[in-house]
Amino acid sequence: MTNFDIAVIGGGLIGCATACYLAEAGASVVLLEGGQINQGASGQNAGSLHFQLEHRLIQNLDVQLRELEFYVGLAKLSIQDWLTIDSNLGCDTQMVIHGGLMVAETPEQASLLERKSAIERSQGLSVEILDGAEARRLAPYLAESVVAALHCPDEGHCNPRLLTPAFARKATSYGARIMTGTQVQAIDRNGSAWTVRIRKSSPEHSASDVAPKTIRCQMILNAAGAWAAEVAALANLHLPLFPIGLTMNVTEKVSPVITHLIQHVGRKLSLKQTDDGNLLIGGGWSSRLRQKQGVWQSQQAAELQLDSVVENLRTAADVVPLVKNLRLIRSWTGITCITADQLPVLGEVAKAPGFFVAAGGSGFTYGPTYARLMSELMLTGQSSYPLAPFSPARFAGLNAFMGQS
Amino acid sequence: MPRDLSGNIHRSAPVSLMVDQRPVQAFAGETLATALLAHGISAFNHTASGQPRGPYCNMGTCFECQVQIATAANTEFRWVQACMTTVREGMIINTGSALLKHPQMPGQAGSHSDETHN
Amino acid sequence: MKLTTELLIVGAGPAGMAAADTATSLGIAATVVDEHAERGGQFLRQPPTGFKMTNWLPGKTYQPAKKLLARSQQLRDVEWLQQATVAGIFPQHGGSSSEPRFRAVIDTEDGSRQISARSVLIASGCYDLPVIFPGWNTPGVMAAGGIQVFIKSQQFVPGERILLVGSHPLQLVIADQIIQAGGEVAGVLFAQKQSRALALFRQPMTLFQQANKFKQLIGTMARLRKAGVKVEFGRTLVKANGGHELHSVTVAPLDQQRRLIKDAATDISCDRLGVCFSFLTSSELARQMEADCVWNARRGGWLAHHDEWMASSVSGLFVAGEITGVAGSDVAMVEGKLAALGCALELGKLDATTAEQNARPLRQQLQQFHGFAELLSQLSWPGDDFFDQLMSDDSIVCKCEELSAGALRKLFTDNPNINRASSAKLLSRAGMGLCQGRYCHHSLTRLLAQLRGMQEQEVAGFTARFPGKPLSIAHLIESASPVKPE
Repeated sequence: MTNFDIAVIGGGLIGCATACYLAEAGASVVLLEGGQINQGASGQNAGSLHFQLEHRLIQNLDVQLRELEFYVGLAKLSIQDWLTIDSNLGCDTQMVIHGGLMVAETPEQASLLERKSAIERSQGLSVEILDGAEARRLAPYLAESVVAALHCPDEGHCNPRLLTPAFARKATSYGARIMTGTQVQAIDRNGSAWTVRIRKSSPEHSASDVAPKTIRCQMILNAAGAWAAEVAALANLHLPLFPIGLTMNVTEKVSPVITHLIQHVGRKLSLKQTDDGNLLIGGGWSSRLRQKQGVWQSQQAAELQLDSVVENLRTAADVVPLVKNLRLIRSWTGITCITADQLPVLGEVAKAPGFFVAAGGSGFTYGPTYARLMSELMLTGQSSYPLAPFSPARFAGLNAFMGQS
Repeated sequence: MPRDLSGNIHRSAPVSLMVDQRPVQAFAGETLATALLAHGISAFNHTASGQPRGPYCNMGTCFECQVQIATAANTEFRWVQACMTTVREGMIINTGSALLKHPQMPGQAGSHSDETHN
Repeated sequence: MKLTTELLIVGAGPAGMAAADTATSLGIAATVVDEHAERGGQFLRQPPTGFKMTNWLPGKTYQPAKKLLARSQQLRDVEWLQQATVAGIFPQHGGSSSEPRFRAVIDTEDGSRQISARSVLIASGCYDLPVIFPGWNTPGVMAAGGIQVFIKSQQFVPGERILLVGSHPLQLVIADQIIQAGGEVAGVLFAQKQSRALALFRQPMTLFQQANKFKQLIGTMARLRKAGVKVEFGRTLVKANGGHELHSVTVAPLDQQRRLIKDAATDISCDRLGVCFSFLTSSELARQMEADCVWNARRGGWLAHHDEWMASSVSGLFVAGEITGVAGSDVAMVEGKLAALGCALELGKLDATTAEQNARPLRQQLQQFHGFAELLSQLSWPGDDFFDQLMSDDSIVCKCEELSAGALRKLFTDNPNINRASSAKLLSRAGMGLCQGRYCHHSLTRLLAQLRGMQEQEVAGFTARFPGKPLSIAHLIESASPVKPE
């Protein structure tokens, strides 16, 4: 079959989850993934469900105030989606909401916590400021250097290794067709429809039918994460989505002791303990994108930077001293994408009717929610939560001269 | 288990260890793996599900022979590969563990394991 | 520990020692890093200093390596770091042509240090192929090479009654060493038929070229016969019994198609089992550095690709010894010398003509030694798919995360889109434990390849990640960078 209602490009969380919602609603869906399901940032990230404003978002607090308010509103929706995820998917994704603590180690950082908590509280996010002693009563594993912490009981984590494959299985059960090892080569408008030319990038041994070379569809969802701008370019569109290389570290297993998602308001840190007992340590430490004559080599993994690993672990050990007693088992890099203004791009590109984008902006924490809202938007033209603040329309100027006639 | 039956070797100075709070005699230059096996200890640690494990590769690649030894402070422990660790006088060793013993870890600090699982 | 070196050599076995020897003669300052207490690698495994021994490793096969070991004590301009692990090696970007190209993290009991190196040689050797069968994790089951280390190095017989099962003639040598140390051998079982296992003896050219090896093997067989050790063919493992402590091993004969005849299984009582089929390369560091490797299970799994100067696909990185293809100490020593020549040539310390002159006889030796190694490998390899039948559903494939073959098969059946080892690892956790996939990557590759009807090479492998071995975080954060921050 080569005709589908919708082609979803990208087999990460947003792609698989949207494909799942679309297929569940009765649309015929094909999902095109160049490598393996969950191979990109969706499977490489820390699995944090962080609803407080993160370190990266409050760097320019004054400038971004308006957008941030909409973002926090999305959080409440997302918390509800996470609470029902396991029952909806019919499996255990190790989703847990046990609370998050964003710590401060200096008075300046503590006042930053106060400022952001005002925004969060005004949007209905339940947060409370704790002083150092209170924080250590709640979390005895925190260092003496912690002078304050913002407690958000609605934060937690989910297992990125399990989540996306669960959506992929569910999507398949609703009739979505998933094609891995399949690269998109061209995207063209054909009257009111789209044609997507594809190429098998590697031998495919699980497919029972012969793979088509061209897909015809009414709508396209660009959920290609780090590669979303590349995919948009195939349709002659500009998207201000930029790849960034990040770093993750995992320690050996220990008995259950870290009971919160730990973040830091003034340093790059995320720390949690998984169900299996390992500590997952990240927080935005950079890895190096491969470049060749200034061009990002997008098919190669980002290069691990030793200094990022060392400083990430130093930060973790400063905040949770027992980290020093553990062994590092593995460090890895992942490439995610950010938009020019740190917020997601969600919606239809006006210059290319039927071409939708869902990328950027905490794609793991909000992924299932983005997916649900996007499926509503694509099928009915409306979404149950305003997506207008995140629409590609805010970058419409970039595509004034682009698109296809 | 007898150490050596060939009569070919003269071992050097004896070394005293404490293994699971019991004294064990070893010889300088031996690995912990040798000392423990010679003493009749076959399980050096346990898996998360409680399966006993002992030495497999004897060259530092498999991590099956891990034991915990007390750090200088004697209140904290660290994992070592028994096959790659030379015995030292006064070493304090724990076998049979699955997870690292640390003062900040349950059950000393009290249990915070009432996580909400959905 | 020097903070900077010209040539960092990983591994002080035959390849590493030979490279250090040649390097120093060519004016290259080398640092050799090795995990063991003493130099010599797995091949020699010297007894601890303090053990006074007569007659350590008699036998002509050890002579060249022992000579090299003795010579290594005299070398100047070589820094030897024993009981040190190279956790990772990172490329240094930019810099002029004379500046360090690599930054290595070296970990010892006391802490980690970062050192710079202009060139690197990885000669990290190999380890016994882990073979998955029911009960293989029972305390008492070991890699045969691990038993040999107890005998050779620790002068200790690790069991009352030791059974050896596999397909590699090395297990005859180990049985012999156990007997000579006063131990008891319950049997030596080969999967191959007798004619195949002993086909080596019928190759006249190799007999002539490898006279010492054959003399040793003949002597070994004679001693085993005299001691009444049962050497049997066409039999292999079904399961290891005992639960918390090995007390017997169930074995069964193999039919003409090399399939187990389980109805004819018998139990052999023993308290130590040595598994001796083949080897896997310790290629992790080379792969972490993104050196091109090729998968060939019979020759050791991931084999580091190299040119005629032992240069890998990464500029300034050389490889030598078992990681280029498991081929024994003779090959390793020559490859080490050749790698040092290649390094000297690349650094401009040797002109092309002299380098070529020195390299030619080495390459000729290699051809000869490779011929024997290839023959040995073919005769001792039981077949790519032989191991599949040993892996029952309840066998533990990933021993660190306790994942059984049956559970993995079900998981991959339920997720038909997964057809690469890396995504299989991500979904299942196989390979995420302390051994970092060393003990499951071969069997997981086989399991997935078989399930998907693919070639092992297509399934590919786990991405090798920093650190190469689990690394103390306390050590890592205290390790100072040798490069001054801007």
